[in-house]
Amino acid sequence: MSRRMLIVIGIAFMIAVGGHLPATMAAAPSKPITITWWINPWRIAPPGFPDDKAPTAEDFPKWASEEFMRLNPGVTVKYEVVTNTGFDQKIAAAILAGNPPDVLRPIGFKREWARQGLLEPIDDYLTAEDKQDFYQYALDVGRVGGRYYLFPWNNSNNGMGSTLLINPAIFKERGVGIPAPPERGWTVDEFMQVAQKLTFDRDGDGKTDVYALSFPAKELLVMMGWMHVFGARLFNADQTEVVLNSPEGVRALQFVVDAIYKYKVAPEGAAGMGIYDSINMFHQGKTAMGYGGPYEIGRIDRYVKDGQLKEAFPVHITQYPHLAEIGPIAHHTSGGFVVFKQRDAEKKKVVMDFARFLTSKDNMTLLKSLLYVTARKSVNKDLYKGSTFEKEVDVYTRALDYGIPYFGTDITTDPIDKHLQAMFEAALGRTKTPKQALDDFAREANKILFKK
Amino acid sequence: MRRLYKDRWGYAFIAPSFALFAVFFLIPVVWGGYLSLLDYQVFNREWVGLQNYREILHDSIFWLSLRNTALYTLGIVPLWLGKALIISALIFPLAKPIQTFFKGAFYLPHVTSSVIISMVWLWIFNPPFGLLNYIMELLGFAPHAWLGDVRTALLSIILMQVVMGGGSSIVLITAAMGSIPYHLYEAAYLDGATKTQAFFKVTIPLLRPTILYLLVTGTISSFQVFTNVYLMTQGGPQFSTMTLVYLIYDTAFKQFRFGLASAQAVVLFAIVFALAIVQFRFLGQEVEY
Amino acid sequence: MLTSLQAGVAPGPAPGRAGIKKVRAGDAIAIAIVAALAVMSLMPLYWMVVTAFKQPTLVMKMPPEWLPKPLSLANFRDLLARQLLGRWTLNSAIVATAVTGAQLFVASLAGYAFAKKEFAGRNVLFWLYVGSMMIPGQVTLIPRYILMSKLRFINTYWGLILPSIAAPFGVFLMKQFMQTLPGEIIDAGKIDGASEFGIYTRLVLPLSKPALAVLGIFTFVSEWNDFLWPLVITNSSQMRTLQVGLAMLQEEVPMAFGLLMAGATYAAIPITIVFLIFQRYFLTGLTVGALKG
Repeated sequence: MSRRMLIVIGIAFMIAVGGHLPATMAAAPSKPITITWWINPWRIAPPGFPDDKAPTAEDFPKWASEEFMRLNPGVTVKYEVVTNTGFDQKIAAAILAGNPPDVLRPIGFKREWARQGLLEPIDDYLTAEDKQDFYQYALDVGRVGGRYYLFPWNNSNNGMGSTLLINPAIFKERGVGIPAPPERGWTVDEFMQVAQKLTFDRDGDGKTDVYALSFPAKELLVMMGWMHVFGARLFNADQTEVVLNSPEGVRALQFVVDAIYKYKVAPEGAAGMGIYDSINMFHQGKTAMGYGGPYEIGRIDRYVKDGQLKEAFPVHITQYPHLAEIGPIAHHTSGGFVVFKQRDAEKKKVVMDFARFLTSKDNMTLLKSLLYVTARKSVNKDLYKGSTFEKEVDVYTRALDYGIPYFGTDITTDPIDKHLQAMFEAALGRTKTPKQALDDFAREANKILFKK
Repeated sequence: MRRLYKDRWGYAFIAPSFALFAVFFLIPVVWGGYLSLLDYQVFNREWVGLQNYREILHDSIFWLSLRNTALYTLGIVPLWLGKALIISALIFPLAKPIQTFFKGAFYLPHVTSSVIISMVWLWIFNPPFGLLNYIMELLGFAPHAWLGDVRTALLSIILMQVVMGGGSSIVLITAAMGSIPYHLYEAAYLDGATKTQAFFKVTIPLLRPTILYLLVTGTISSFQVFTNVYLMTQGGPQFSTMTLVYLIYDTAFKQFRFGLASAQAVVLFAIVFALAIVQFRFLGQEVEY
Repeated sequence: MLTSLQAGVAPGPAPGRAGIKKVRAGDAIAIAIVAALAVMSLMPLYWMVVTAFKQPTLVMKMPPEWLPKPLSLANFRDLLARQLLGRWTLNSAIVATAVTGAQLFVASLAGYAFAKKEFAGRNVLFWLYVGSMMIPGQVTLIPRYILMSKLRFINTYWGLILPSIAAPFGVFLMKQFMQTLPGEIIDAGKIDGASEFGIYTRLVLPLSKPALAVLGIFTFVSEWNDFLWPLVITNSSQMRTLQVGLAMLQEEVPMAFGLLMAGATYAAIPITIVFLIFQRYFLTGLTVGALKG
């Protein structure tokens, strides 16, 4: 009998048994239960964590495991912090060997897992209130075949592709105003005028010392942000074709190329730049603007604590610029927890409880220590009230309201990512014109994803 | 049976080695060939015959990696060899301690791991803050994104390898030079040859086996370049540093298409094997086994 | 295909033309050129060390300073504060030592049998070993990985160690060397009534010390520096070797050049010490001669 057959029978069995279980069961399990939980590094400060210490990636999972064990006698939670590097490979090896963890926070939800029947659908474990409270787009990230597979947790990511950061000191030095709150939006034309003022030779040696911003060709979210500003989309509406090479796409890419080579507001060599190059230039004062949301403000303080950066500097968040006819746009998504297929009904219940525990209102507020916003509306409402970051988080969450997913919702774009990156590299390195680069990419991507 | 009994010690002594060798070399070689005929992914295992090979033929990135690997090899092997030959010729006549000192100096980067070398050069190549662009600016050139430009990325990796490499070749060449009988030089000088002439007429021909050996091993090892690419460019920009082994790694451990990756590995093997045969033919005439 | 090992084991290269002599003009120019090239290839390593000892906030200062002023250990403090560094170092040491020890034992046994024992199929087997040395490791990478996952050896010391012991080169090297040992000694051992294993341990091994040293040193260095296999076979932070750990650090904090260079310096120290201690094995041509094939 094949394994898939066994799984199907297992599911049928579990549905049959699970259906008869009372909805709430607080009693201790009849036998010892061990849950395995894998999570990538999140340096979250657990409750009661000393203010003067920097939390490590172990602190939150350790606290969460112990707290859940305390609340649920007879249950053991074994957590493992899996590094971002090699994360996918570790999961694939575990799936290959037939022993994935019970609960996982994937880096990027993998629809394929759900389609292959590796994950438990969670619909029955979301209360009506949950469904109201979670942002719909956060739930939709984990939606496959009409069912939900992901307990949403963090709302969007570090803000890449959603908002920009600005260094107000350089704006002031150049006598440039900051876009007006509460949205801090600006048009593409306003943006370009400002950018030109922000690019300057400070010491008069004939070389540009400060650029307005940089374009990290290797960072797809940031670059796709620029594409969306001009109305370009990766897929057509029914997600059956790659259409990034639309006139809007060409216009967007031309804008970026012009910013570098015509207006010279960003350094050349963008083709080789990754997001860390971009962050570094912003931190070192070589660019007046950077990328990201509140989390990236937190990064500055962290680097200062680590001794990598001499001193903290104030940072504001603004929207990406927009075209009047299109309006502001941003990237939004969600990360969270998936539950792998369970063979034992009693354990399944506990595992689901654990995932719900992690994404409960109380525990979600812990994301605040990373300056993240959460996937629950009710939590976000007051999360940053009175905090020094209140204004910035407000600009960020307002930008997220204009958000859309940049990479489609039904298709896994992993196989074309490297081609998308090569497209940006080609255009920004001027080895191809924007149109050529986009056409070549669309042809290759359509061949890979849609066999046409 | 008697024979086996008589030979038992031979077999016993070989057994531990052969058991490991069979499990981790022989079986995987055969199995790799078999895997290349399957569509073997995390969720899927099915026989597809030569489909993987057909996909390779039509994969533009595969051809690019083959081209890059060949360019890399063509760039590195002669430069390495040239550097090693020049340095060997220059240090060989020097007093022993000086000679040893220089051999040590050139050998040290050779025992330093590729990971370390890559990290150091990433720092040196860093566009705004790296040492190289600083020196370029001192010399009046514009700074350049060495690894970020499709025209210079592969070249930069080659140059880095040339600057850091050659240590073991120098040792081998000077050792071979030491075994050239001195009377051959005396004969050449008696015939009125200059030192340079003697180098080309006596040294180089007698070094031929060594040089050919270095060519073969250099070619095989450059065809397997991986660590530098993994750490420094991940095959970019625009696949300009995508090499065969990096492609195999990417296919197997990023896309988890083990069948396709096996087929790519088989092709790599065929190419390396063919190159080695060609070179050994050449070499075989020179050196007795 | 193989120049015999004798040539390699012969005492190092004959010194130039004579011992002490005055430095001539030609020599001075030669020294100058070679010194310039040597400076070029050592400069990156120098820059690594200098950066490592700079204050973290001064690492990216422009123009760069050629000497760390003020000298700072902050990067090393940062590095050593990372919990897993010790574990990575330990893993590398365990793997390199275990592979070297096992490889010496297994390869010398088999090399002895190939060199001095008669048995059916000897030549075929030996050519199998030699032939497989031609196969790039990447060809067996994927099947070996899948095999390891079936054996549940992924992310274990077994997975890191076992396949490397099997490398055929050691057997080849030992066979080439042991062939040069005079057969009479072994016969003498037999007459004295020593057991087969006794002959191997008490006669063959001591006589093979030069070859064992070469194989040991080179196995250790190449295992310490190995990257691709440890990268794919390990997947938890605890099981990474030092090289893979460094690569992860590079991906984690790609712009913390001070910290990264401290890590690189730290990882280079053990191998530099090995190199300095065993210099003559590296530099006399003995090892390279042995590596031919």
